Amino acid sequence: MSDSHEKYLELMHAEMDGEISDKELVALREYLAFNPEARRVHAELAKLTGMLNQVEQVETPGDLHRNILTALAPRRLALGTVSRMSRWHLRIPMIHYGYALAAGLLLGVVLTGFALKNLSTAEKSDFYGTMTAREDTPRYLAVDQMKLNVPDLGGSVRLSRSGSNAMVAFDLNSGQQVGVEIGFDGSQAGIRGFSQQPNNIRLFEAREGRISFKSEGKQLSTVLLTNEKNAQIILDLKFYVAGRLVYQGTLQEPGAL
Amino acid sequence: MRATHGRINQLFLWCVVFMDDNEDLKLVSESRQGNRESFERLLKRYEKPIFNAAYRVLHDYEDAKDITQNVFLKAFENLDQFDSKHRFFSWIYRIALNESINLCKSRKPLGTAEDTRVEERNTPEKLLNRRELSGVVQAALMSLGFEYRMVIVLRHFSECSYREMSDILEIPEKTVKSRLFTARGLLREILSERGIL
Repeated sequence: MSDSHEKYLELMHAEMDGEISDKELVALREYLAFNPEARRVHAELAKLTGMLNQVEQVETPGDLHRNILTALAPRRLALGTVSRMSRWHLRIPMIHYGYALAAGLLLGVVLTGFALKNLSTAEKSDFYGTMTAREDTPRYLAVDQMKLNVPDLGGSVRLSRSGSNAMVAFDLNSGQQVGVEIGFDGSQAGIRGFSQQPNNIRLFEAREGRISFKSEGKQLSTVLLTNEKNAQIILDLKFYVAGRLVYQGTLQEPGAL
Repeated sequence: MRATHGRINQLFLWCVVFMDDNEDLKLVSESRQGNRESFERLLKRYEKPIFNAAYRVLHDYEDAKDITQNVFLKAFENLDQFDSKHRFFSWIYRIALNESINLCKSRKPLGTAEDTRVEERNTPEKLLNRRELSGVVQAALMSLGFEYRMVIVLRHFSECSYREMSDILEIPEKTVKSRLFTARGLLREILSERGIL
């Protein structure tokens, strides 16, 4: 292809993009008038850009606008939340705490049974509740961490590495139950263990490339991943409070080990 | 004549863009002072374009939703870092771009167009349904590398100029042009192979 054709090809693109000058347009028209091959290319390009411009807009999800505003709104309320909660606590008679505790325990038993039922035997024996939280911590080298300081959720998450193992330690603190989701490349890493302190696992699920669990109050949760291929680990973390996404972030190693 | 019309249109567009930019800067400034209504106006203005760009780049409705949500949360948290020498529009698109890149990195390679491959009997004339056409173009788009997909999305779906694309992608205009031309060439090949073009 000649330099001249390249130049006119560039002008064709500029014309489609509305970024051509009068002078350039005249030159392009003259070139097209005497060059059938260029006219064919021009027609094809026009058809392609026509198709692209016809692609329809996608409607935004109905709840997107509200979700974003809701996620922003609590910031202003954050200071007031503590005092409101304190008053609420004072008004509840102690006997209600007893009922709530009993109901919570019962729910815990039911949900734990449900979680166990959802896991295959292999999954259970491999990792479910078998690991003592942070027992090996000194051997692990911290590679990344994030601080959580959003309404209804505080704490930190740390990603550490020791050989082919990676440990994700969640130190969460919330007045409500927090749903945690960990996304990662399931072809590169798999789960080896999970534990919580205090040990009150309510719901825990693991699928290829995705782990989710609940955390409540002030709780330490530890996920142990194995990464035999020594690939770079990148974790996509999402935190939900009352079903609402309150924080999302990524933890990753600086580079492949 | 057509070019003159084009220039008048561009001048009109420039005036609209300039006014929008001034309005954006005012809204940003008010949002920094804690005015949520101002931020909501920015959200109203840009949530649809950002969602659409993310959807066309990632081809996943839920991911696009997450990205859009994150973009606005991050923008709100980092309003103080916004440099008013730049356009708010470019800044927020850049956040969306980075979020999309991070998401792509953390996932397996996105599916190719195989599942939505169009058989040869489909011709442009038969693709009367705009939704079907969108699906075909989207499938072809997903066959492109991320950098080429991004320029097509910014140019054709977000209607950015070369200059705006250069600002968003932080690359020279010359690179924008060459990347866009290559992307179109690749798309043309893919759609021709499938008998669409």
